[in-house]
Amino acid sequence: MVEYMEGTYRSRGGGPGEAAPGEVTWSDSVRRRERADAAYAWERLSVDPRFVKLRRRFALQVAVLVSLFLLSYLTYLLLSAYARDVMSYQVADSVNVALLLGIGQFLLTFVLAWAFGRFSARAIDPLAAEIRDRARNDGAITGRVSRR
Amino acid sequence: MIPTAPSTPKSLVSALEGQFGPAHAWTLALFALFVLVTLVISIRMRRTTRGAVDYFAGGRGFSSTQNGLALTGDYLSAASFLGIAGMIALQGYDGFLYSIGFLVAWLLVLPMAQLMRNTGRFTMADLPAFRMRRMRVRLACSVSTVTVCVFYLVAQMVGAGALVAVLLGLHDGGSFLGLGADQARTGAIILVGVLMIVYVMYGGMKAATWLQIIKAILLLTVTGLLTALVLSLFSFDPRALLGAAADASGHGPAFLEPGLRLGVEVPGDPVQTAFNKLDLISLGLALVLGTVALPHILIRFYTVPDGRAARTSVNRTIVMIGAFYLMTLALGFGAAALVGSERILAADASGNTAVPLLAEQVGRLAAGPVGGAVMLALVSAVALATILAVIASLTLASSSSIAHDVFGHILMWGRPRESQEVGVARFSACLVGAVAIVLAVQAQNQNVAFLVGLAFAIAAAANLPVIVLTMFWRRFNTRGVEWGVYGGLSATLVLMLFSPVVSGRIHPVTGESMSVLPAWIDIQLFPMENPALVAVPIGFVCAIVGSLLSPERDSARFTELRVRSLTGWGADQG
Repeated sequence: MVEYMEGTYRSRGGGPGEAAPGEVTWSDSVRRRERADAAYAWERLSVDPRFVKLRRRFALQVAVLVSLFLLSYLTYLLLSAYARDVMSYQVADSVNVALLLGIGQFLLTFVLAWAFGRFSARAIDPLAAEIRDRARNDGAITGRVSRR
Repeated sequence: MIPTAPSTPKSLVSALEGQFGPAHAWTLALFALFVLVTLVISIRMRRTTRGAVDYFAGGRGFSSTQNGLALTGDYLSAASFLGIAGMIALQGYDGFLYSIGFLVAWLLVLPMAQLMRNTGRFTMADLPAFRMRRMRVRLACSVSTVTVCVFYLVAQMVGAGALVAVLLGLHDGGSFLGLGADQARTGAIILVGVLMIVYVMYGGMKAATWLQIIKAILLLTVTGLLTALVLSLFSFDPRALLGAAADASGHGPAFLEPGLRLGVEVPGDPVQTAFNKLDLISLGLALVLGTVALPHILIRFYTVPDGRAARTSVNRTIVMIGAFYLMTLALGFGAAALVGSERILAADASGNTAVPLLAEQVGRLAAGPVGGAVMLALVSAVALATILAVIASLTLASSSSIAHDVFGHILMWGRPRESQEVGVARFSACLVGAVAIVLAVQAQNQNVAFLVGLAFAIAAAANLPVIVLTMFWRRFNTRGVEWGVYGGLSATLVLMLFSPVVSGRIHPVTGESMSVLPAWIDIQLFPMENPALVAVPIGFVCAIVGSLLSPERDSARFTELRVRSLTGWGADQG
């Protein structure tokens, strides 16, 4: 079996038009049972409380990042387009609000990226590693099925 | 003393405005050195490139710092280095809007990087193909990848040709070794095209990555040096720099505010004003959403060992790109203050030579004519290296897609031999490169700057819906992918065709066409230059409607994808 193929069980009898040519060595029922077993294992892993926690944390993290990003960037764009008098207010000789807001976008990007990385390293990565380790020890999902 | 630009004595005429001189020789020598070093690296990398993982994903062995540098190199094209600084020099603050869009976009890349790395193998199509019937999905993704890459490639290569013509002082009738401007341009396009094919065919992803790393270090160093020199002339007081730029520009304080180029307010025409402002917002969205889905950026995440490294590399990239774009601000305003818009415009109407001119001026102020020649040569060589590196990556991205998706999974039913797939990738690199060279030579006299914007808009409208919905929508399916890609792609192309970029924009004084088509053809129906504001929603709606119209659903595969993408399970196994 060529290791290079994507998902061994998928390539055995895939969807219409891409059935594996030749080399049918296993019976249909074995194949089907195998696929169902794998699907069951993934399904079980996906409702594992730890995974649910991981998913929630990731969703929260992304939601916070994306909403802060959209808020600041869209505000900036709308101000540039429609509030020219605000943008042209001069704060200190030639430094105006437009420039300060622009530099502010840079700073906010740095801060958000740093915070995202830090939160991931502390709250996401250890949890993901734990789930991986447990799944590996359980052997619920065999190496053969997960090889891509 | 604060030097200002203005009347240049005859003896100080720039090398860019005269005949071939020592600065040109130095430029060519430095560029040749860069090519030599990177070719040697390619040859070394060829020895360690054995299978498909090595060729397409650089063996997945790069560290996050290396990959961060490579991403920086991939992303900072000549449009960033020369284009944005030139725009700031000529139109002031509005050029900075591009810098901001290009940078903040990476905040959206940040959460995607890890998910991409955990679920894909070599190309963007791996992601939706993980969940769905593979062939049609792969074909659709491959079509959009190749389209984006070819448009971007042609724009960069035409840019390379124009840059060489200007750098050699050929833009207005000069000659170099008996070559006119046209021959020099054609020669430059063919030269960089052949070099890029050599890198990609020979060394694959490993060579491309090292090429990017070297280029990113060079680019950041030279930009930093130039920025420091510019600021030192203003005794490190940004306010003095801004003030001098505003004075020299002839626009006064308006030079430092938005509105000279983007979202222009047309007196007495409220409709046009409204569209101009929408255009500004559309541009802002295209920059941000397109970046997330650029194929040559996406495939970089496969070169690191795991999802964590992919995320960290994006963080490194944000720092480097942020620093770079802050420096372009100093370069752009520095060029406006020290060189002056007349000389910039005289050398090149689009402002692409602002940075080389600034380098020469600054070098001359710091160390006399020799300093000027050295700085000019340095900056020009780095600009050429920048173009070369970016087009190599684009070629790699499209040839990977052709070999892995079209050949490997469509023609060979998902079971090619590795050696075949790599062979096909080399061949298609050659093919894509040849097509790009021919197109670029044909288009060398056109103004193709809009092609970069078009590439970003297509990425945003065709690729982004597919990536986002694959990751987060259980109901998404094959027809959704197809409708999303083809719908977004054709919406962007059609809107572009009917936009003022292609036809209908006529210079008010001379009556000449400022669009791609000649003045007598007017098919302009769509009022905005940037279609993203309309095209991206169309892409998303097509993808969603297509999915809902098809009964296909595979909940089990989505569950598997979600577990894999978040935990990284299985991603460490090659």
